[in-house]
Amino acid sequence: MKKLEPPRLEEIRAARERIAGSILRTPLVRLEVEGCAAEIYLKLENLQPIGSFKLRGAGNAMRLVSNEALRRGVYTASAGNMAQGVAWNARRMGVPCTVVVPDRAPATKLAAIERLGARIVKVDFDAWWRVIVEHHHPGIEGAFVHPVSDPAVMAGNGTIGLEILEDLPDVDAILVPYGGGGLSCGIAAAVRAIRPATKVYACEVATAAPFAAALAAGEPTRIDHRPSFVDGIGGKSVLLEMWPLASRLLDGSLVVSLDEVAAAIRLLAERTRVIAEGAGATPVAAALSGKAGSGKIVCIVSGGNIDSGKLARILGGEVPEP
Amino acid sequence: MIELLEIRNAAERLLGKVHRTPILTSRTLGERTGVQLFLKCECFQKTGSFKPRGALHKLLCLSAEEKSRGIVTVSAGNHAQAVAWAASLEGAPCVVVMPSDAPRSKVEAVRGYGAEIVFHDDRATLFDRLHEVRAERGATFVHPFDDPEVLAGAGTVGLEIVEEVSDADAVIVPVGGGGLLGGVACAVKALRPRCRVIAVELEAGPGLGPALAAGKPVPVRRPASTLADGMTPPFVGALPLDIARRHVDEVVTVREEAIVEAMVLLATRAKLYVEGSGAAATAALLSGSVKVRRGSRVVALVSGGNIDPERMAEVLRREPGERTS
Repeated sequence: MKKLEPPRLEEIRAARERIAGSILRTPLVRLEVEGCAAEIYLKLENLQPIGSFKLRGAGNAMRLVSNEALRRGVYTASAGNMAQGVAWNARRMGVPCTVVVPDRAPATKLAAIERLGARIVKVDFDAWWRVIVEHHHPGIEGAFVHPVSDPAVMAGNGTIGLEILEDLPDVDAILVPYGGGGLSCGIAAAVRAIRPATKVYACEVATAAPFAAALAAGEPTRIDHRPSFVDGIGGKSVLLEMWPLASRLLDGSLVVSLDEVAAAIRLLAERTRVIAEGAGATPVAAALSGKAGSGKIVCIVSGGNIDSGKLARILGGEVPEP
Repeated sequence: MIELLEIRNAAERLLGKVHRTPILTSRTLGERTGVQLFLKCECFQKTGSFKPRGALHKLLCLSAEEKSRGIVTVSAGNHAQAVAWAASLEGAPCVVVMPSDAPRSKVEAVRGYGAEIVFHDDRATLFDRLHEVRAERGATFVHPFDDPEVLAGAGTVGLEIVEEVSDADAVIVPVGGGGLLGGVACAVKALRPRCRVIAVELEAGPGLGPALAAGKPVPVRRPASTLADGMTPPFVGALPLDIARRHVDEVVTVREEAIVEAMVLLATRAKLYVEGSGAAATAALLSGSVKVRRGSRVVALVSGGNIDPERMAEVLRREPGERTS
């Protein structure tokens, strides 16, 4: 497999042209918190049509596929937000879409994918993980859109970085949830090129923090990982092909507790009147903890797709089970 | 009537002091009724509702001398917060008369902006108490909905809607005392006379419909319990009523269940944390109270997002229906 390179600035700018008009240029809003040393801003990607940033990367990658190839359709491997990102763009572009999901994916997620008109193929977890690693699934026609480690997907994600620098040119730090690493590396690629002084941090939860563990060990390691309501981020290990990029582009990992994430979801609802999912609230929790220091901090609220039962528990002051 | 010029001047005075709130689209919600739905998100406004537009505009129209004597208002909700916020911004002393049973979160918010609170037990005589305070201190009363400058401020919401959704077929607005409706209707009708303006009120306590029928403000029945506490004023203002007579195309009512359902959908699909009144316009569309042609471009005004998390948790538990992933 070809060595993965981060997207170049001109690729990110081109991505922006390509997806303009199909995505929302999300607002950057201030989160006022009394007694907080940092000046916190929120990049509200949860307000995107599918409730997450994923349609940026999916949209850019799919628009780079030739029309002829597109006619045979597209597919991805995801049970979550990326599946919706690809399916949403496919519906918009009028091309068939298939989503490979692990066989135990929750019914609510599958329903959301089907609502967008995509076909679902269930495979066991190991076969599903193989698709992510090999960028291919035998027997499915069409162009594969990788959920994370595809330069075109990262370039689409990087457009968030361009928008932030336009709205807040002197930002000191950008805090990004770390799942596969595609969002944080895409944003970092844009920011490094334009304003190297701005720090870009990954954010993880203590129950599943593979990037922090890899940084501590100096190489990717397998970790003890406990599933939680923060289901959009946190695996057993970092994606190996992303490690060279992430370790070079990111300034570190800020790790917060599940309690802090739940409190951040509640605060976002009360103060900003938006619903964030666990992953989306993790950077906010990190900023509030003081781990990112003072100054102007932008938190990427990456998504808002949370089960309403879990949300109800969090608003009621609890920390829900996974 | 509020002239377009007055609303434009209000927008000029408010520029940079309040947010220009985003207008989001929701395909999922729109598809349910076959329309293109736009949500004007005043839940993102300062203090969490549209109210600061009117309150601050009123203050910006006062002389330095009037400001120094202070302002006074009466409210248990969003208007109280907005007036206290505006007063702190302009450095004017502020007194808010509140019913003793006002929600604790609202009381804390008002106090947080540095306003003085006068509690009053009897809701029926709140306005009497207000006028006593006003007379004692020589303060200016910022009426929540029966004041031309307050309405001109609220009307700036309408300007923003017309600028961004220039070919809207209908705008749906929740009604309490009528301040938001009055301001928005004047702006929209001045610029887009053919765009329908639809008012939404509570089936359990309508105010505008009966007042239009009677030809004058009438006391509004207070519903036993509703999440839409912003839509339960003692009466609809004379000024908004006069505007509604000319500029409102239709008045519809919504039931509490429809509001709950819309709150859940706005949270799970649009990721918006919205109070009951804020969901009423969307509820009126989704429940079929508002009839529009297929393919119409419809703007629902999401007026505010101030609801205690514990109450929101109950709402989300009550509706086990469809959920997003």
